[in-house]
Amino acid sequence: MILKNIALIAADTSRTKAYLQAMIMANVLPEICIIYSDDIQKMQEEAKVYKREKEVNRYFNINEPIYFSLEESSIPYIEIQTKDINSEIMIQALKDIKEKYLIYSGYGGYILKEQLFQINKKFIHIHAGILPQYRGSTTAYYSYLQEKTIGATAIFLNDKIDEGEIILQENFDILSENIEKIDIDYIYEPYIRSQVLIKVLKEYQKTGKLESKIQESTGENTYYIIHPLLKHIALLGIQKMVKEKFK
Amino acid sequence: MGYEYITDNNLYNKQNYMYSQFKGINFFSEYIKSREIAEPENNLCIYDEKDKSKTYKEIHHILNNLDNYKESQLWKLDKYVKSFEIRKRLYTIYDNWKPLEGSSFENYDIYLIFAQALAKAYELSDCLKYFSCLLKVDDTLLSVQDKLNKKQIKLLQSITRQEIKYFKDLYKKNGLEGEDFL
Repeated sequence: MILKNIALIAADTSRTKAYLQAMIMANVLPEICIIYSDDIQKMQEEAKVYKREKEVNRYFNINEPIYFSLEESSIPYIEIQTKDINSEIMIQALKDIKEKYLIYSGYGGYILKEQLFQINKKFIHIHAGILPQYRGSTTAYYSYLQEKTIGATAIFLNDKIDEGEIILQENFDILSENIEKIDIDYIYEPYIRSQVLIKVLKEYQKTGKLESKIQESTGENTYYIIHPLLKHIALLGIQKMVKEKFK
Repeated sequence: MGYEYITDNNLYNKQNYMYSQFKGINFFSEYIKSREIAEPENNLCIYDEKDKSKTYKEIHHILNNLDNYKESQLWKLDKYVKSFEIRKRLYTIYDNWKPLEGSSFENYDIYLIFAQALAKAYELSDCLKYFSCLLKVDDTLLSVQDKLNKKQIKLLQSITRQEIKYFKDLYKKNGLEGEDFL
């Protein structure tokens, strides 16, 4: 089913692949997708040579090109040759589309500038952490090490990082995943974000609106890129606990 | 390949730590080896109060007051954590959290007192953002250890010993065991 007023802003990332494939599987599709990259041609060529893999992936298929998913599901798209979400050409493209709700799947390191909040659109962003307790970067690792869970929160972006109004949030039990090795950065984190996104879109499909609430002012904490030592403890700790649980 | 987060000077060769490669259990041995400077005995650190830079004094004040005014001092420390995490440097003077023109980022006493404040903050809060930041500050200090004086080296030995203790505690807490370095 195509969701009115919903568009997907799609960078060439594993997160976009997770979002797109989850949306296709759940049949909650955007009206349009805005693909943006500084090498659109490369993305197109990847799709041309790609052959569908027979093996069904547990989370999503990181090898499936974005164009391939879009073409297979007949999702209309426009292409913008830039990586910069704040560029004039991007702002104009976002102004020109009629959709009000824009699912944001952008490149890391870019913060939306004020101008983008003045074009009468709402940016839906899924943060990989429970808010306001886990703002910032690599919070999946911190959250696992501190609480043994990993969460994701859907918010409407505003001009402050990870401080937008909350649409919904959910915790995931990574230790219930019976897998030998888990890639949090490129697989599990994009996957849990996609699952929260689907919940948001299902809610929108049911009610025709998206309600949100201001973040609580207690317990807020901001994290920065985790040191590799702590990342190794988290990853090996998960492996060990999963192994013991399913042996 | 050894532990790759200590260069010949991290203040100039900034480490961003993003999407760091997973190297398995061997990474822990590499880490311990990188901290060979660590002092085996538990010696008390002596805070150097001779330094007069504004940043040093502020962090020193935070450190001294963390026990009694935890919340307010952690809030203040967080400003320095943010500044260091973004710039991978600490400056002698800030103006509205921007380094003042002419201020230095090579005052090693500031990094040493900051490391001590982070260790204390981690002990009091159990919040891993302080431990993560401490590891990065120690990487930075270890990268410039040939530039440190005897007193500074002594402090660094003590801080890295403390850091290794935090590592071992967290390692065990996460069900990991049985390695030689424990």
